[in-house]
Amino acid sequence: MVEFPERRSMLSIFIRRYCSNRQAILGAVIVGLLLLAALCAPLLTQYDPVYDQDYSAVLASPGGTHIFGTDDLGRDTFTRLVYGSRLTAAAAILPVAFAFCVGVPIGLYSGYKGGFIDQWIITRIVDALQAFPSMVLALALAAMLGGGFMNAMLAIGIGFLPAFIRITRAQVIQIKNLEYVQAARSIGCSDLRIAVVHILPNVMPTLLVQITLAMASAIISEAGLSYIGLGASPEQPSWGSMLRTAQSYLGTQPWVAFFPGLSISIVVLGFNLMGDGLRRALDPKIKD
Amino acid sequence: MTNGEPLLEIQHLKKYFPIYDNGGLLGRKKGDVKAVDDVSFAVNKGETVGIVGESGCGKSTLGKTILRLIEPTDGKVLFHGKDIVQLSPEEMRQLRKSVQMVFQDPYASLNPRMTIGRTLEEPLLIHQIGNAQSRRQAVENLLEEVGLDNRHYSSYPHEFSGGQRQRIAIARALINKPELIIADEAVSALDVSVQAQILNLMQDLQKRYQLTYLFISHDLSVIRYISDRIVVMYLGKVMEVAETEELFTHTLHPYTQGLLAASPRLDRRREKKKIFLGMDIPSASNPPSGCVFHTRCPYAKPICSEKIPELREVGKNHFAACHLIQP
Repeated sequence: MVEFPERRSMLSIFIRRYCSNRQAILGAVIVGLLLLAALCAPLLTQYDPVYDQDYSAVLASPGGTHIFGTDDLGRDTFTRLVYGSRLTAAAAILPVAFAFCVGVPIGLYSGYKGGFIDQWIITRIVDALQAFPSMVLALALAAMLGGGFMNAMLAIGIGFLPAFIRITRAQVIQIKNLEYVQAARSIGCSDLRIAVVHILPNVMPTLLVQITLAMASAIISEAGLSYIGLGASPEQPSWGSMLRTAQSYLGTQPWVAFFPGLSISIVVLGFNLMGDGLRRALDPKIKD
Repeated sequence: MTNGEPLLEIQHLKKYFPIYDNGGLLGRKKGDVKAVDDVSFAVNKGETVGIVGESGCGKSTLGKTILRLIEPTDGKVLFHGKDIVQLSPEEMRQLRKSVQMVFQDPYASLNPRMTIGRTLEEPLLIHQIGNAQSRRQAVENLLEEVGLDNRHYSSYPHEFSGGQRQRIAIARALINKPELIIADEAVSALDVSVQAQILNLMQDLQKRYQLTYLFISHDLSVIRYISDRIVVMYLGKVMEVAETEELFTHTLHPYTQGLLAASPRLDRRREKKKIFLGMDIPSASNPPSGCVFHTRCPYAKPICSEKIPELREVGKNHFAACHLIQP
């Protein structure tokens, strides 16, 4: 009567489902390339992104020694894009990591404990934060905190907090009434153990999707703040600040703006495809 | 099987769920859902007490209240003579070694992201029993004892059928060697053939470990098969308590008669005159006055809607709450 089902771990099922979706693979490849570029930037180009200023080739068109052309100071656009991928990767990771590390414990506590603190303090503050569009909130916070890349990261991260708190809280409320959580209580688990060992791992799939989608939005926000001048300083090779410089030459030398803009679009598309692929792979209701 | 010493005594247990007209906090309280209303009975060591009743009669709430998965509103739950309701959280945690529960839905009662080994080791881990090696050994032995294989140690719940999962849930309840197991509709979600396997397994384990069961089910045939004594509940109240054979041969309470008549039977010859339980069970937030059953009772007299009947001894070890039954 003992039957052995085919041994398949949940991870292998997940990977198979994820890889059955071509768009999801494309998304993962784009994100992978971004990380690769960020890691290996010095190997990909011979120029320095800040100090190699070629005054004989200011605003050069693409081709020749500068395949993507140069900017108004004669800096190689390809080099700046490659080095800029580091800031872009940081912009994708740091705010989301902040929102995750702060938002998820708050959401866990709020959803699990319920009661006055949940309904009248945490939920109200989250509502208030969420009343602002996240870009406007990030803009206001960045203006308050002052410019600079790290402040921009913090501002964007705070903007993501409400979404992370809300999603975690909603999932926790749903999961905490399931029988396996009651079973955990009935064997004598502490509240902390129930929250961390039994509930959190079951919230993670939903959070994973939120993380990738928030990364895409963080890249746009960082580019936006840098474009306005509240993010990376002008000499830092950030894709957003490159766009800002390029703006003045949009009519005459459009390629200066074209490549950073294209890079942002492709990377954001990559994160969105990946998030969508994760959602499909993790959603039990979508059959493969 | 019983030796007459009460292991669990429930005295005047009540669980009321408040209803607010505006969802909590500032809303005004509108009333209560009386899920469990003044329930008293005892469970002796080594016996199986069945709790039976229609959906919504409060039997599951009763089970969870005994374990304090739901805090009772009022009343006492004496385990070995000690009131569980008064225990501190830490004392309660310690007590959870001795009282365990098997839940209804084997698909929901196992954490989908934990291997069977981790799920079964957890009770030992949190009560700091043994070391990693002895815990694994205990789990593997127990897996074989409940009819699984020790190679299932590193499998996940989704790899198992409903019956196998319920075996795992029983193993989890058993691993800390409890004295009392509350089975809340433990076989209701299973196929009939699998139900029989699980019931037989539970009986075998009961003999081997001198377990005491409180078996909650809506299914009379399951209750009859496994129980030594039966408690019939209706709208949060106990209607009748008797030993199994006594209850089925000398059914006294009109509600129990109705329940028996409503359950399908193969041999039509033995069919007695039928009592039909027409209409649905009334709302527990607004229960009928007097005897809660009088709205559906074919024998109801004026007194039934005025006075709440006490649970009285009407025969040897046979209790019923009905004005019309004379001892």
